[in-house]
Formats: sequence, C-alpha cells, structure tokens
Amino acid sequence: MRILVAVDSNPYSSYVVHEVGKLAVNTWSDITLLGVIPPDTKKTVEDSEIASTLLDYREIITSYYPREQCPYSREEISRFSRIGENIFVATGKGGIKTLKIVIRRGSWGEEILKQATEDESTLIIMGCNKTNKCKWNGEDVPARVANNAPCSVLIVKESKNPEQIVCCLDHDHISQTSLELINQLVTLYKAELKVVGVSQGETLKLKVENTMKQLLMYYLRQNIPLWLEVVDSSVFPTFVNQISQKNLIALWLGPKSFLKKFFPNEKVTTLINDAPSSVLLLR
Amino acid sequence: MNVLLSIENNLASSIALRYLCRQSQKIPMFIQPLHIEEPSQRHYPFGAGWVRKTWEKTLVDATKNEIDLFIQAEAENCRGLARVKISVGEKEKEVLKELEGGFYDIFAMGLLSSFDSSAFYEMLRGPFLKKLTCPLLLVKNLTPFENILLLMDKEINIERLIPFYLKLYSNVPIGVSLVLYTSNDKDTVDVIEDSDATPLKEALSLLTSAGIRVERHEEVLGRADKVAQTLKGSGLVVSMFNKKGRKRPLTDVLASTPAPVLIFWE
Repeated sequence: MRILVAVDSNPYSSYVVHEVGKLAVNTWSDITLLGVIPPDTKKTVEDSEIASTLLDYREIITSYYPREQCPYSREEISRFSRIGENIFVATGKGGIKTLKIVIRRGSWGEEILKQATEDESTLIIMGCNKTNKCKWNGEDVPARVANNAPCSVLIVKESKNPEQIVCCLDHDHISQTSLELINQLVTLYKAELKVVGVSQGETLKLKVENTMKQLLMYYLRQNIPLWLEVVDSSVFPTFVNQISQKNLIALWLGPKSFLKKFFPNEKVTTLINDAPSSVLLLR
Repeated sequence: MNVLLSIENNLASSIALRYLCRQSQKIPMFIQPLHIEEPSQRHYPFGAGWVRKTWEKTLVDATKNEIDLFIQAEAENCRGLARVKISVGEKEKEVLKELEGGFYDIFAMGLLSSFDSSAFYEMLRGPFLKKLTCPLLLVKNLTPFENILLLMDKEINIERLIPFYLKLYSNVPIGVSLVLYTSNDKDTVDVIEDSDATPLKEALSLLTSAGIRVERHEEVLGRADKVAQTLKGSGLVVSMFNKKGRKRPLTDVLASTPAPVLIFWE
C-alpha cells in the first residue's frame, strides 16, 4: 500500500499520524508525509513550521516499531532536497520501505492531489476537526480531496474509535486493495464490520447480492464476523445520516456506482463536513 | 427437530442453510430444503392433464440440478440434510401443503436484515404467515450458534412461550439468557441485571425446573432499534408474536435485530 498522509500543524493531524503509525505496523506501507506551504511564504522550507512538524510526525510513525524491526529509515534528517520548482523532499537513507517527507508550495487541495498522482497513492489519509465542519483554514480541503482524488480517501475525525465499519455498495466492482484496507481498519479499531447492499424497490440487484455473498465468504475464511444489511435507495440518505453518528462509513464510489447519484460532489462534501465519525471513500 | 427450509438460489437462502448447518452440529435435526418454482402465467399450460404434468416435470428436473448445486456449495458440515424437494405452483400454497400433517417443528427461511422494518411487518401480517401455525425461524445473518436469548415483554404469555421453547430446545447444550424488554424514548439502553420483574421470575422458575441453565436474566430499557442492536451477540433470539394483536415495541425489536429470530405464535 502507498499511503499519502496530508497533514498540517493542528491536533487532528497529530491524531491522524498516530493512527497511521498503528496502521503501518500491520501493513508495511510506503508512506509520504505531505505538508503544504503558501506560495508567497518568505521563509525557507527548513525554517517553516510545517517542516519541524513533519519531522516530528516521522518520529511518531517510526516509534511504533521496536528499533531493530523498523522497516523505515531512522536516519536523522537535516535538509530537504529540492526536486521541482516548488517541491522539497526529505528521506533518510536505508530502510526497506519508504517514509518520506514532502513539502510543496501552493494551495492545499491542489498540491495534495498532485502528490497523490505522482506517488500513485492507494490511499490518502487526512484529519479534520468535526467541530469546525471539517475545514482546513476555513476551506473544504478534505472534501475537495475526497471528491477529486484518484484513489481511496480516509478522512479521520478526532473521536473515539468507531463501533462499526459500515461499507455500502451498490455494484460489483470491489478491489482487493479496498478489501485489505477495510480489514486493516477493522483490526485497527477492533470494530465490527457491516456490509450494506443498496436496493431499489424489492430488487437487490443480482450483482450486488453476489458481491455481498462473496464478501461473506471472504470474511468467513478470514474469521472476521460480518453483518449484512439491505437498505432501500429511498431511505439511503437517512440511513447514512444515522450510521455516521457513531460508525465509520465506507462508500464505494467507483465509476459504475449509482451511489454517485446519492452522493454527487456536493453531498460528499456535506457528508464529510457534517458526519461526526470518520468517512472512507473507496475507489 | 424437523425443519422445513425454504430455499431459493440467493444470498438469504445461503445464509439460512449455513446457519441451520451450524445448529445441526449441536441439535440433532432433519432439514428438508424445499424449493418452489413459480411458473410464469403466460407459459403455464391450462388444464390438469398430461401436458401440464409433463411441463411441470420438465421444470422440476431443470430446477433440481441448479438447486442441488446451490446446496452442495452452501452446505458445510451439515447433519441431517435431506435432498431438496421441488414443487411447481404458488409458493405459499405449496409450502403450507408441505407443512400439513404436522411433521415439521419449524419453518425456516432466510430474510436479509433490513434498515426499513416495514417489510418485516408486512410479511408478519401477510396472508401466508396468518395461516402458518408452526414456529417461524427467520435467519437474517450468519451468526455462531452458541447462545439463545428469550426475549419477552410484560404482555407476553410466559406459560406458552417457555413450554414451546422447551419442546424444541430442552436438550440443547448451550446457555440461555432471559431479557425482559421495556420500551422508552431514551437514546441510551439501560440494563437491570438479575432483575426480579415478574415475567423474568416466572420464566426463570419454569426453565430451571426443566433443568435448563440460565446464564443471565435482565431487564433492558430503551428504544426498540437501540435495544435490537444489543441482541447482536445472540445466536438465536426467541420470542412470540400475536397475529391478531396490536403492534407493540417488542415486535420492533424483532424486526430490527440483526440476529436470527425464532417466533412462536401467541
């Protein structure tokens, strides 16, 4: 897995980094810690507040491993290398997996999406504060990233662990990567797992039902208990509103998904901004 | 125990069959899968002569293979599983015909857990279940069969519920819990452990006299949908339903719980 962790200096980002540390221990992922500085800032990258924050966050992630078992370089980093006009990277030598720090100049949303494309990230993780409608400096940065990312996006709200991870699907295209990600989150949060098939009227589309069955068999083999539920499309928005209070909601929003009808970009924004719990958009 | 299991080639039936197979590991049982093929009216030959009978036989033969394959794929470690019976006709009528004679102790079917419980109510009040006299097992999720929960409210007839239960499960070597449900509008669920509420005391007395180990007995108060979720850990929730009675919160709990539900008729 290639995880892009977009952070700033707020407490919710520190919370996210701790979650990433726990996730990394089980997944051995390549990780990019990304910070963005305004294009007109006069400070050098090394002197920016975000640089020292990112270096601290790197320490947090590596601290989740015993020294001898850490797959990432623990070499002290003292400088950033400029690799593009507005891109600065720092990475220690050694390590069998990559844990790099990237600082980009520009606007938050745009730079996060560019980095995800360049890294071919499989997952973007970012945090936000549920009390200020999940905004970064007054802007819908997490929502913008969630709507436009080429990969899955996990928006983590500072809260107690979700009781359940509720995965909603309405089509049959479920990638192995997304399944593995869900498994990791179930393990991380010690949460229950529920798969919800969205039906229209009395018909549960055959493909959705087959997918639910495949998922049931898959999780039976993994010894992970799985709850199944059917929700009619007419009450789906109500359902999402209810479950997002205490549970992590995961939506498969692939190109074939009719959930996009319920969650066009503006509604994804509303869901991300208003849900008290974390949201995972799977692609 | 003799169970008639309604089988379709779908997810709900897969879950029901697998669940019964799990039960069969702990309870000696005979499971009769029954599949009803409802022919399209356009193609159904008129009359009752050999044309129709030949047509029905062809339909049965064609379907049997498909359902046999389905059952082979789904039935794991299943004890007492008979070969599937296939009938052609109106589903509800054929099931009731099979149930005539009183051989079966339970009629079982899969029913995927649904967010909207109105469908559950419609089914309970539908014409088929109005005629159904044997207990109904609705399997909504594939849960381990390691405990049974008897769910009651203050209106339930304990002196009918417990004997019904004992007739089927008195020799099952798993623990039983008793829960008395009282509805309120609170968002939180309150639990009074070892409650001495009368229905619980009566049920406890009847069960322990029959040699049944009761692991816990408690009163649970809260909104039906909230309480329903707390029953998730049960391998089976057992209760009663009054077909002619008014709607009551206990039925909302049965509708909303994702655990398998066994309903006796009041």
